[in-house]
Amino acid sequence: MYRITNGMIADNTLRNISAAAVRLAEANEAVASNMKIQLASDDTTVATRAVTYRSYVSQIEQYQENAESADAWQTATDDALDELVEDITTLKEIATAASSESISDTDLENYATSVEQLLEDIVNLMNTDYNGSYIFGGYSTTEEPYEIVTTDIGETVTYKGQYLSLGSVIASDVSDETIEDYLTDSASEIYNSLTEAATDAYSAYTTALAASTADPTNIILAAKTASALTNYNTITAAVTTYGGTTNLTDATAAAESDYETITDTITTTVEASTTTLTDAAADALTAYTTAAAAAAADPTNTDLAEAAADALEISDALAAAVTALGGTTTLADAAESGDDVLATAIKNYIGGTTTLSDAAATALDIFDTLAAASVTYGDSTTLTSAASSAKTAYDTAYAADPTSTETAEALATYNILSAAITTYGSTATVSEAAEEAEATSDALATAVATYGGTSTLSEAAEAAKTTYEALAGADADAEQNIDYNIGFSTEVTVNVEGQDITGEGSSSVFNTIQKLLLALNGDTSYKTASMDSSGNVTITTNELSITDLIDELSDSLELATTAQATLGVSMEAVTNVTDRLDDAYEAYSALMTDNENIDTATATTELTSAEYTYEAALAVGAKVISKTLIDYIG
Amino acid sequence: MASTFAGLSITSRGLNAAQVGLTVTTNNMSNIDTEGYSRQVVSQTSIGPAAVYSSSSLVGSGVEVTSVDRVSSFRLNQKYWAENSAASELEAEATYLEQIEEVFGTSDSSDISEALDALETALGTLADDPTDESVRASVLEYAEAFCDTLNTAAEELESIRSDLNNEVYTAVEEINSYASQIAELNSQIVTATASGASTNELEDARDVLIDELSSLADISVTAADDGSYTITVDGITLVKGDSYNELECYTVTDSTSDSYGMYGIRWAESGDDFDAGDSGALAGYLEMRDGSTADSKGVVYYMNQLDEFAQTFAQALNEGVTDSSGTTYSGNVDGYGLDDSTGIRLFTYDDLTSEEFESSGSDLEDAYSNITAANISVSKDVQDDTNKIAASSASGEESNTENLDDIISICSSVNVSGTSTLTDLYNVIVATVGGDSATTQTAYASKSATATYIDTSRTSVSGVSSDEETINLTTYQSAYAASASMVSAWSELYDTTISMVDD
Repeated sequence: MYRITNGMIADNTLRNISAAAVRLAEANEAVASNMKIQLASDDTTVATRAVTYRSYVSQIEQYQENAESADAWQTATDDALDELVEDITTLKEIATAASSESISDTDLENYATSVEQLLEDIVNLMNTDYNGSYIFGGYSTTEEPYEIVTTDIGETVTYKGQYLSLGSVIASDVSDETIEDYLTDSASEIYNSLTEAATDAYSAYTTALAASTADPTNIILAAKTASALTNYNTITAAVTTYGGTTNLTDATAAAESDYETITDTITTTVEASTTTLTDAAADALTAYTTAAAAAAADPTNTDLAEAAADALEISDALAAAVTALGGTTTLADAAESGDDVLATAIKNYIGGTTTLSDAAATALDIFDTLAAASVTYGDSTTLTSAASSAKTAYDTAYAADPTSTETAEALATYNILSAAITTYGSTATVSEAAEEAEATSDALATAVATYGGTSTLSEAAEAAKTTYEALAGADADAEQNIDYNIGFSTEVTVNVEGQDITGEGSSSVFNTIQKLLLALNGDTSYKTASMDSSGNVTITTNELSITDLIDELSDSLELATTAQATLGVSMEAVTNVTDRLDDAYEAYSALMTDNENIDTATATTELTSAEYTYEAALAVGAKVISKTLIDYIG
Repeated sequence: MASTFAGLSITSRGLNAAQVGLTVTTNNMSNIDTEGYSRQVVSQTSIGPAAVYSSSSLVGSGVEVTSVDRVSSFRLNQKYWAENSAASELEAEATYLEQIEEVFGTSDSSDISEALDALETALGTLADDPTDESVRASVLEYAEAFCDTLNTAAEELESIRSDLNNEVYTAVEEINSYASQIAELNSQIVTATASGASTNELEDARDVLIDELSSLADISVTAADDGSYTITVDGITLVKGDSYNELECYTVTDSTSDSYGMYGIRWAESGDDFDAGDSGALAGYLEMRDGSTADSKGVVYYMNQLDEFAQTFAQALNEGVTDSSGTTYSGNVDGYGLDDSTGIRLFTYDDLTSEEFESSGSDLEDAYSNITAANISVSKDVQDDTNKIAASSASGEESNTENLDDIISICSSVNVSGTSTLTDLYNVIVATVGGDSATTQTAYASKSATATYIDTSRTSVSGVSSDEETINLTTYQSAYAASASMVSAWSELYDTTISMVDD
């Protein structure tokens, strides 16, 4: 530019002063407001981070509040549990004292009064509230959960309006008729009964069905509906097996033990098997041929193909064993040979061929023999000595007449006793073994009733497993946990449900207290009643002994202390989380302020620099634009 | 031999020329601050002897002022008009983008994300005790506050759009006014040039008008032979000679158009649509007003983003969300309130109840497309009875908070769309508008610097320098003094000549 006019100089000066003033204004704003940016366009990264950090900080504040509330709730629960443990200990002491021989009637009366007082106290404890919410009531926190009610068949405790257990403890002087009538009337009001579980399963199924009908192409929903239906059917079958009024937890335990009995039976049958490998291998080969033919006839059916593959595995393993161990080896010996593949194959083979009715018959046979043996040799004889006595008896009979029936019977007795050593242990007494054999026999008889005598052990085991899992699932679903969010994806359950502390079904502490009261009253027996799925009431009379009650009270005490221990662990976790939250809060607040707020040193430096630049622009500009040539002419 | 008084007449011409020079210098000095004034210079030539081809006249006859010219570069003007147009467009966009930014909140005033955080905190407090009536009331308050914030933001965006519409109307009026004035000046300049008169002031005035016009529209100017300027916008003639084409605004009634309900522009005579081109403030206003796609982000684009955010928010909290990994989080519809009601929606629009909302569209998706940021509200059911806020996942369980936990997760940590949470979706809008605004401001600063530079070049050529004029003044003064002293000298000569004749 070769020609500068005064106008250009003036404009230029003005522009520079304006630019300096803008910078000064911005620096001033930054220092005065303590914020790096006013609008998002000043620095977009800072702006978006600010939104995120603020969100985090506000979430952490909420978590801290929640953690405090959780701690308070849990402390209230812990205090209540402390007192409960004390009360149960006192009950135990009373029971111990009352079980002594030299107890007077007045003492018994006094004890009875104390026990009644303790019962009321326990019920009050279980109705503790924190801040207006009843802490042991699960999700129903606005009403007292526990109440003592008097019914036609005696006093009992209700939980959330439903009977914790109905018909578990009835005084022996109540008539059977009254019991039947009452049970039939109140069958639907039992807490956590199997019938309730079946109803819940049905509503779950209808919901799934509605969802999949609304969206017919969705295969996930269709699969969910199918599994809901299977679940419902399984639980309905369980109602028939265990009775509709049975408590769900009790039924789950029974289903588990049934399943274990069947799997144990497979093992013991293997151990006692006298079938030779050759016979077994031939049998397995035939089975495989049949299965393969069926699978070939229907190629699309994956189940048949799977079954054929399994049959082939068994057949191959057994055939290999014939070559390796010799065709005359029994299955029992072959299973012990150390080859795991062979052992599994033998187990599958036995399980797949032995029917339930055969197994039940064998179990009954074992029980009868053991019962007879305990009469012959004495209750407290160990199995080992009984077995050796039986061997001696057999030798004698064999020497006398090798082919007589007595010899065969003696041999059978000896075999069963030696097998029992393997099953029950050598130090077990004959009567103990007989008891366990009775339980097994009963369980297998029930299984025959449920699954049919012709189903094989493997099939029955599968079905029992399904039942057990379905019931366990239903039990877990019925949990009502009040969870507080105390961290990002961290939840803590703040409540303990009442039935987890007092027990439910037939083993609740309230039942024990009722029995204790009956015993202190002088009763020596009590009745239990249960109802099956067709409405028939079964009434049994049981012996009442205070010693048993002491054991039951120990169990209840353990339940309460376990619940307290779990609570303690949870409280510790909350404390840890609270500490971490405090750290996180500090960290994120620091991030937030670092992000948004100015660094005071930098900002004031910038402000000083801007001021200086502005003043310089003013000073220099003034000098430049004030003089023209006219000032110097003339 | 020259005439007796030739000398005097030469000096009178000299005086005259000096006088014209002085007058022009005075004129320049007086107009030193006049906007658009181009300095004028005198051009004078010497006059040859009176009679041509005669040896009797050997001496020239003095000086003649041929013209007073205006110093101005048409080429620089054209360059300046182009740059000014581009800079004005960016200025218009930057101003309005900043306004849109403020709608989404400055860094220290309450805005949408803070309202969402507050709502989440209130829901968290409710999860600690779902039976507490006062906490339920506060949840309702925060929910309504959140809806209000969205409503206000939508209103502010609407009013920005309305402002832009008015700007468009004003700009069109101004363009018409300038066009008519330029046409008038064109005709005056043509007449004056034809009669040989000076057109300096008229041309200055015309250039000033074109400067203003260039900031409004994308014009290109060519000089015609007769001295008039032809101005075209995007290829179509605006001004030619003494005639001009008017523009008019009309309200767009085509509901499929981007500018439905706003002003459209067309040429008054032909009725064709006016294309504002891609520079000039008018183009900037139109883009800001109607831009709705990712390529041209105007108010409408951000209004749509905000509406989508409101819809996603309402749908997520009402119906629940299934995220990309298949986990389902239930919404208010699936849960049970304190009064065991179910199927209630938290957010509808225009204070509709949950049922009315369902039947407001052909299906649920259609109903949700009715929700906009301007009309989102808490549903009437919840407004009337806060017990319908569904905390529980089953009826009859007052302290069951499984449903409420899901709702709280949806507020903050669940990916409601792809891998974005609700906060992320909002952040994207803030980042987009912030980024847009920042880039436009930078572009404007750079373009405006270029325009200023060319303007300075113009001033360098045609601006008045007081120092230069002072020197010219001194020069003309001495020229005048010189001619004046010549008059004295010739006067003495004539005295001597006359007294020669006198006896």
